[in-house]
Amino acid sequence: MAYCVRCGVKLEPGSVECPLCQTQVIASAEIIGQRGTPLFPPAPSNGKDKDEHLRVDKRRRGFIELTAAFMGIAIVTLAIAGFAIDGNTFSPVLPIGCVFLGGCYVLAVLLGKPEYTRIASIYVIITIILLVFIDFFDRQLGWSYYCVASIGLFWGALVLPFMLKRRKVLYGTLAAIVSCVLFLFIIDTLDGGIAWFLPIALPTFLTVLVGLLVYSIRFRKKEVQVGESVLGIVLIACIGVGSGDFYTLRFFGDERWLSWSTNVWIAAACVLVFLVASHSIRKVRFYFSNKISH
Amino acid sequence: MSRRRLEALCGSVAHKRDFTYDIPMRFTWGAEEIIPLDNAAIIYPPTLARYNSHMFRLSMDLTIPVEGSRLLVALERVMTRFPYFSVSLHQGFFWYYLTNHHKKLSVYPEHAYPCAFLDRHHGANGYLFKVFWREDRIAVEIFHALCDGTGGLVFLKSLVAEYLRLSGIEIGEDPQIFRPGTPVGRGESDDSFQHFYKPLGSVMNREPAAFHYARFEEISDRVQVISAQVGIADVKRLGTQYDCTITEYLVAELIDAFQRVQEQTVGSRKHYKPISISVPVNIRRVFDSDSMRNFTLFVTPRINPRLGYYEFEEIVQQVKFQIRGSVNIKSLSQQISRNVAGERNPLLRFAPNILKGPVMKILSDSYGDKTYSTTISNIGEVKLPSGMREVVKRADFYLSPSKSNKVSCSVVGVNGMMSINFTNFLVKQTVIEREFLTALVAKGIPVRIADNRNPHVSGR
Repeated sequence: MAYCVRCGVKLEPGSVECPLCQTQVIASAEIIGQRGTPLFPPAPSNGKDKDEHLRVDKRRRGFIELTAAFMGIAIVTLAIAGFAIDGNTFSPVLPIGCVFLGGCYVLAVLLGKPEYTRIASIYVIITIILLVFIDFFDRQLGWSYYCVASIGLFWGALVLPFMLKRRKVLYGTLAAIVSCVLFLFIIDTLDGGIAWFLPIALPTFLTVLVGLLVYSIRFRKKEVQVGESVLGIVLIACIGVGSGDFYTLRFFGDERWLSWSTNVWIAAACVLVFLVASHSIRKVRFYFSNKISH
Repeated sequence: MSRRRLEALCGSVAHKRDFTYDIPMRFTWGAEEIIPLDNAAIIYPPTLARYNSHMFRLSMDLTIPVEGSRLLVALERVMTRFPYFSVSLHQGFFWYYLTNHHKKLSVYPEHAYPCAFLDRHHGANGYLFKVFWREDRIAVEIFHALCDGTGGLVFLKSLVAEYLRLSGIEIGEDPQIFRPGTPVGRGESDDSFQHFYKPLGSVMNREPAAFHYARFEEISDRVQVISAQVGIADVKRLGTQYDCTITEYLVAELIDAFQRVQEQTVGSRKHYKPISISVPVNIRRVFDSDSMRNFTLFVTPRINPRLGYYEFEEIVQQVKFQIRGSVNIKSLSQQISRNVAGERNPLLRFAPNILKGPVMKILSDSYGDKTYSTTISNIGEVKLPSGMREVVKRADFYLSPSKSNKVSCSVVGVNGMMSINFTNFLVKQTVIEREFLTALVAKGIPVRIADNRNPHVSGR
């Protein structure tokens, strides 16, 4: 019977590592001892021990079979209808495709591991296939490019960051930023060549990004009041919208500094003054009342 | 504990006649007898989930071999003395309720992970408990809506005693062993919360959220166990050294372990959260109750590490002050009043179950799970009568962890040895367990551990 050299606890006979710190037991077989009766019997190697979880799986299998059955009935019915009805007035291909992909939405949740990233990724793929399929039904692709780009933006900004294993915040933020820039670039090029991406979209996006950076530094590691955080986001939105107007005027060579966004800038200034005043007043109040500011 | 000492601790011992007794315990609906859940149990069914099984397990390891067929006979005999265990759980329109249940009883071979989710329809043929066995062990896993640890312990002791009698071993008398054929006590199936309810008009005090260990990589719904065996005399010696009881000492050690883990995992002190431990207190002796259903309340000693590092002696002082300050008739009556008043609130009482479920879940999280860092339940040293004392070599107690509190601790002692069992959902991390147990080792207590985790035993 051995002791763990790190934890100092006595281990069960036959133990080759400490359950608390996973330190290997380096000792002679005599000291380690013969394996006795374990605390609990080992789980079956295939992971299918006879407990309640099997019942959960059984129920899930029932739903899978039910969904597949409904899909099968709908597809067969549509196929028969396609043969029965004149081909020029009704084609079953599009409804069959939609039923199949719709069934895939349900099956994706039931078949796979219930993880956000996994299910979101599968949904992204199915949605892209569905939209391209519907768009391609009239033998040419058009509007689906924009949809695919938007879905790609969703995946890059809201799914990919959660799939990262290391430094999630840093690399996730980078992934979201790159996705936004790529989205704007692709939308611009879909209209035929680069037009507004460099002079308007990119500077506006960078302005918003700087605003968000200042916001995150301000509120980092602080318990922020709800009102303050909402107003902070309103301020950044105003600045983003206003800067969009500003860069558009520069792009068209207009001499004016601002056109329609003057009121937005005034609103942004008011919000900023309110935030600064509210913060200062609270600090002064806490100082005189000896409270901890959190 | 003598009555005088108990009165010194609790103020005075309450009697049933001091309290109102106006709620019918059972009523019939057609041919079926409807048994309402007790006040503590009503929270369990709506919050039942894969990671919240609300199960606890009690087991005894014997020196004689255990046979499944003989155990089944013992179980069938014992069940005649525990009619309040022959029930099944149902979901009504307004409340969950119990009805009498007389389907075939079964005993199940021991499995790898304790406190697994129990399907109320099929898990144990409709019963709310499951009896397990292996070559040297008899164990019961019980859904908490049925009874608390004390009720479960009485059931296990009676079952083991009956098994030993069937094996030809003579068992001495013990007040916690109910022999088949003896009359069922009038108060055994009562909801004592309703008996001892006094309309005090107490308010709902919400405690701030406590620290929860959150730096983990993988969780699994298979409950992972670290089981430590220590000498009761060793822990008692340390308790005497700090002038506290064994429970108070273990709670203080657990708080200290959480304090160290918070320091290791949280960067700045200003982000520290209070550390609070939920300690179930068996209040049967305080209120002179014989109930075998739930009759436990919770004391939650806490420290706030934002105010600075607490030395162990300071933690012990805080724990002693808070536990002893809470375990008295007035404080406990206030808790009962709060809980029962909530149940009797017409808004909650006549709301459909489908709406009540999510409300219960929110209440359970915000007033329960989130306000404490973990639970430690100490059943104490199990006294065994002659005949059993020589045969029972070890007892164990396991509580199921929950999604918020991924680590739970439960303690039971028998024949001079104490089992401190940690259960958790974390596949790899054992930080809390390590901090707790190495602190005992550092204070000179020999600790022997076993687990049900990854293959660590040679040849497995």
